[in-house]
Amino acid sequence: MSDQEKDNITPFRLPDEGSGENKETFAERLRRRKDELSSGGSSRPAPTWQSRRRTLAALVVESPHHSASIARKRADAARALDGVEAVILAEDLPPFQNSLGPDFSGEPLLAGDEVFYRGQPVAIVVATDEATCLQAADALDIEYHTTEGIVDLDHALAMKSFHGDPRVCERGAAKPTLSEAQKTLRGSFKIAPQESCLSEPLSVTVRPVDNGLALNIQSKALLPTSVRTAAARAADIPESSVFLDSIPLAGATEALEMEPVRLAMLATHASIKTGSTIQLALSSEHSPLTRGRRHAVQAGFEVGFDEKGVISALNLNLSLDAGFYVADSATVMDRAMLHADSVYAIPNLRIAARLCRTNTIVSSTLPAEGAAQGTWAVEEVIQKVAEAVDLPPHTVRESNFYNEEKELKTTPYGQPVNATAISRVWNQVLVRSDYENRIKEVERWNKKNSTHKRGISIIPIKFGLGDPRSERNAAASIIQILADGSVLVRIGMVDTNDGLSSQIQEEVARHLGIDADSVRVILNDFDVLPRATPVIGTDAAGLVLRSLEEACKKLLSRLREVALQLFAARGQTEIEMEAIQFSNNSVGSDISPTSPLHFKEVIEGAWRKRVNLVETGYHRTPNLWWDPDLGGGWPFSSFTYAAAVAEIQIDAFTGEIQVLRLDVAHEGSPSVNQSDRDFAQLMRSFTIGMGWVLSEEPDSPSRERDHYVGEGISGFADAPFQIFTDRLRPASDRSSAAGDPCGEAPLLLAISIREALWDALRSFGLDASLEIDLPLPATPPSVLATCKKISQQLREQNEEKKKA
Amino acid sequence: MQSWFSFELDGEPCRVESEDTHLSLASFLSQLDPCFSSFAHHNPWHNSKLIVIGDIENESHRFRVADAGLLMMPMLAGRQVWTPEGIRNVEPDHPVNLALQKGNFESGTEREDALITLMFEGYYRPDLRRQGQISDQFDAINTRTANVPAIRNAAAQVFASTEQLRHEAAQKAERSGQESTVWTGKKDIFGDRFTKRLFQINERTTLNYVDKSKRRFYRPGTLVEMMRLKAEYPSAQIVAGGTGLTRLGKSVEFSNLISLEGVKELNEIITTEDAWEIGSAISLTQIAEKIGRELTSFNKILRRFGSRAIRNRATLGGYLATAWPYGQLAPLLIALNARVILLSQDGERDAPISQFYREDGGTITTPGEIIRSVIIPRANAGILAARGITSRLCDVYCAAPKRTMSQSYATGAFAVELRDKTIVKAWIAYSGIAKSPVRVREVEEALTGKPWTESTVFSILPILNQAVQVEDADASDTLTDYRKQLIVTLFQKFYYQHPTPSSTDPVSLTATGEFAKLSQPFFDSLSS
Repeated sequence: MSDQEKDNITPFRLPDEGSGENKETFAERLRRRKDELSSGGSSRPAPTWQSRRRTLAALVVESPHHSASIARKRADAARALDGVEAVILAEDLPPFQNSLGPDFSGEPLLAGDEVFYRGQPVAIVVATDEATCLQAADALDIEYHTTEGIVDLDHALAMKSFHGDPRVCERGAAKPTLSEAQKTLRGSFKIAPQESCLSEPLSVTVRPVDNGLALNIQSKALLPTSVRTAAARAADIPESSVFLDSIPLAGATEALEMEPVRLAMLATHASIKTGSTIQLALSSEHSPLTRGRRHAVQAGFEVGFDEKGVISALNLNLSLDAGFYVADSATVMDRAMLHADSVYAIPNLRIAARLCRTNTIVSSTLPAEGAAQGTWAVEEVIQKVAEAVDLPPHTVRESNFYNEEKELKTTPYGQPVNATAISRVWNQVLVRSDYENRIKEVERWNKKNSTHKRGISIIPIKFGLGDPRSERNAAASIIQILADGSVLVRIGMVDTNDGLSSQIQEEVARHLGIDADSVRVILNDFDVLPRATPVIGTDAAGLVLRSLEEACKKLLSRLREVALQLFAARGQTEIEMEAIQFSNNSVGSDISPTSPLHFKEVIEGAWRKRVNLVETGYHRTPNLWWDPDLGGGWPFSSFTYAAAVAEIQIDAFTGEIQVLRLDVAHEGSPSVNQSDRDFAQLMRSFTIGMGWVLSEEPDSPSRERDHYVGEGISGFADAPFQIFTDRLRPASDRSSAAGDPCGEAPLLLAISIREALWDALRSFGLDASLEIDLPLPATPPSVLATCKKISQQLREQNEEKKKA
Repeated sequence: MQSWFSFELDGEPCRVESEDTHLSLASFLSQLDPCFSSFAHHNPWHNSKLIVIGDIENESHRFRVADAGLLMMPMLAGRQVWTPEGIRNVEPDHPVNLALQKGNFESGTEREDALITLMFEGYYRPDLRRQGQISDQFDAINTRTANVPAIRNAAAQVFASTEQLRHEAAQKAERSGQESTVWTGKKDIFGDRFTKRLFQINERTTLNYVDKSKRRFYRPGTLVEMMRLKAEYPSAQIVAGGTGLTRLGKSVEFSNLISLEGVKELNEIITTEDAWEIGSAISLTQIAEKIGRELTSFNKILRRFGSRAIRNRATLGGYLATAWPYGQLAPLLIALNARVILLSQDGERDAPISQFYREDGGTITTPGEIIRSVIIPRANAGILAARGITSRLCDVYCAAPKRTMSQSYATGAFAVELRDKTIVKAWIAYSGIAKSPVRVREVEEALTGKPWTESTVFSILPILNQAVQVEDADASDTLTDYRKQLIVTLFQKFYYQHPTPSSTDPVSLTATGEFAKLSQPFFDSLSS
């Protein structure tokens, strides 16, 4: 590399899409790469058979500081070590390659002269084994001059360290109404982050194939096609030459969306440099790079209401910790904003959200990211309003609902709300839980019991299915009918172990009128289907099911023709094509007096007549749009509604919490036989929410020591003692019904536990006159500390009264 | 010495040759076949990989779940191992497998692994009879990917069916005049493929194994042999269940290993009129099975100790030797007035548990010594009466971030011996608040001679607060405050649950029974 080229490498540069290099066609690029390889004129060595046989270990060297300038980077000693194959620093990357790509807002792949968060990759060391890698990493001479970084939200807000301007979504006039309101309340609270806690360390394997002209990549990722795009860009080969071996996941929290992209790019560079297979690992399984982190939020509010608790105006400000480089935070911010009205028809509502820049890394792929924070914020406000007017929170909630009789029929951004569905789940859960009586029982219990206090609460939720980034709301699928009438379905979507394949089986079988057993579903197929559907934050299952429906329709219309011909051959010419039905493995018309055809017979006929039995399905949600500048749009394919009642008990000796009973009413998926799947999804999602609310203490970024966060994931014995769920049929008609209403939405229901906690604390003496902050997560130490604070403040109040 | 050993893997003999002594079963399996590839990633706290061991324990044949990542290969010599794959792929289907095919538990085979092994063990567990025990059985499961209520339902059904099976076998035995055959592991009442093989295991064999790097793994059969080996290889590491040792992972260079599992003398519980002598190599699960009925507090604290797979392997000796500051058993052992017996070439010596720990976090064992056994005095009415005691109240309390599988904030165990209403002697002990378990003698003395009343307890609390210091350099202020508070509140809880001299069984404060039906049996023989 010449000196001039070196000067061109600036860490923040985005790939120059407009440059001539990128305009070359694939053919040209391939030819160029082949020429380079054969002439040896390339900076990149062609892998020899010896190098291809080897598998090398690579390790990412991470910055140990939040914020520092790098005064010196020397790798000579490390490179000289036995067994070390390569050490790659920012300077060693090919020109224009030191960038993570547009999604990462200019984050460099390897840090240049400065590091901006702990864990930021500074170098990659490649060696024969992991131990040597560690040795080499130690031998690297990197001198950091630390500077004071911004490590938390408070600090960022104080320093006015933001990414861009706030986004606003508004209806009515919040400010003037606030000044006229009977009562007003203002305050702020924090919503803690949550971490993904992968149970297996994140690793990526990159294997050069086809003489270095193609790559094979193995990684656990939620969006493997983005890994493919990134690796292709890093290797400067067409995407079609990158093959993905993706690994099925144990759950949606077992992988990340953004981080595998980074690792795949790093591993690809290492693989190109050495011509060998690279197994890339991180220095520690606690590395910040393996953590998906739910955005921490600081919420400020000003709310106007009357003595019945009916809210006339709310001004809500959400500040999200977006880390130093923005990954997907803008969407998270949008989702938080778009959920901050929840099910409440607040006539004058102003929701403002902005991203704070801190010296941390935040990339989130947890279920209901954004939506959970937004819903949380408004529920917390309502809880405070209820306290101020001294009414039970559920009455205040109910009087603020979107309601058939109220004028407001849409969200502040203009998407219609189904008010009937809200009251349906709400009333259902009220009945199921016997709420009124249970409140009285809880009161009775708390009166006679001084050591264990109970609390109960009810929460309704509205969850938007779909992603505000409309390009993510599309799915492709392929259906093949084989000669014997069995069916192969291919889906370009990561298998997150949520039982989707059984739902696909059911739906495809229903469309084609055959047995579910004869349908085989292949998830994780990215070679055949180039467009992967993101599984988190989108209505992925709904998209896939609708694309399949479309494919089935096309196939059926062809098969109908075949059937018609077969009937005609039998001499039954009176049958009309439209009347031919497919059900129970038979094909025929209802009016037809004669026996129908077997599905297999039709397929056999189609086979002989050379009818195409392969069909692709493609679905994109129609009419999706979201304009963040306007604060308006139709960002979700639909809403799903649910409500939950939670009853908890606090042990006043230890602060430990047990969830006694949970009642849920929710909308089910449109498939008839999927109640088990819906229930399983609901429980998994709810458990993640419960951990967030109760036990998962996030690692504080100011702490230098590694801390094992996974310990807080709630255990088997922490699950609610009793669980009752009512699965209601989707409110809207089948065609527009939600595909996967239980995938992420139930996470929001865990907020009911938090509200129940507030309720229990009231029996410890908490009321509106006290200044009490309930920490999140409500771990035993923090609950006990809160109880202590309550009694302390009550004592002070009494003393003051006595003095007066 | 031999450079190979064999064990039975999924019903077929498996010969292991010159593998490392410390190679874990999880690594071994992950290299064996792609179907075990998930075993390569192992984390005992978050992602445990469970298998079932078939073994003979004091003449009973038992299936026990264990964590494959915490098992060293030579430990398996002569035993049977059933992997989830092996349990699943049997014709006809095992009832447990059938139960899991319905419903959406953790769809996909690999993720059902932990579930199927735990359910399998529970199926053969004679002491698993009540709903409340389901949580203890399944506490190793990662709830983020599991469906807890569905598992509870399926488990209740499966366990009810085995209860019925046992019940019928017992009735049949009664009719024919034989002794009760409720499955004790001494006679096969199931007669399925798994138990048939299980009953083919004979005695635990001795093993002298050497691996390719000349490291040795000994499993001696007698105490004499074991002491000889200890003298011959002074630097050798003693292993019992291995749960503590393997947790350290790759960072430890293993030397020669001497396993206590084959030593007869260390693997028995001797019950006498006034005490139990518990061999140091017996698993916590076995102890609970033997003495838990009489000593309910031991069962109670075990419910919050690790997970089922860990309790099945962890031993009392191993627990004491590692001296983990957050360990939950030590305070109870102190409150029970237990003694530990140490053995060396020079002979035996014994010490109360409270003096077994040094203040700096170590123990008093010298390099040549091993822990032979723990003696726990029994406290039945006759024994107490002989000493002029009318009742003994003893209980243990623990506060932790969650119910199981977490490091506790603090554990407190308390005991008072009463003559009528007067306290004759008291025991107050904590762990988790300093480098080693703490016994608060100052308060114990202050209690002596006073009546067991609320006012006594309240008068003692300030002394308790003063007497105990919380030392944990790593902890935040909130946590230190919390622990300080726990010292007092745990003792208060003890009083509230045992308010009168006659309340040897704790008074329930929570009344959660109405929600959970924890004591409801799976199978009610009267109703059928």
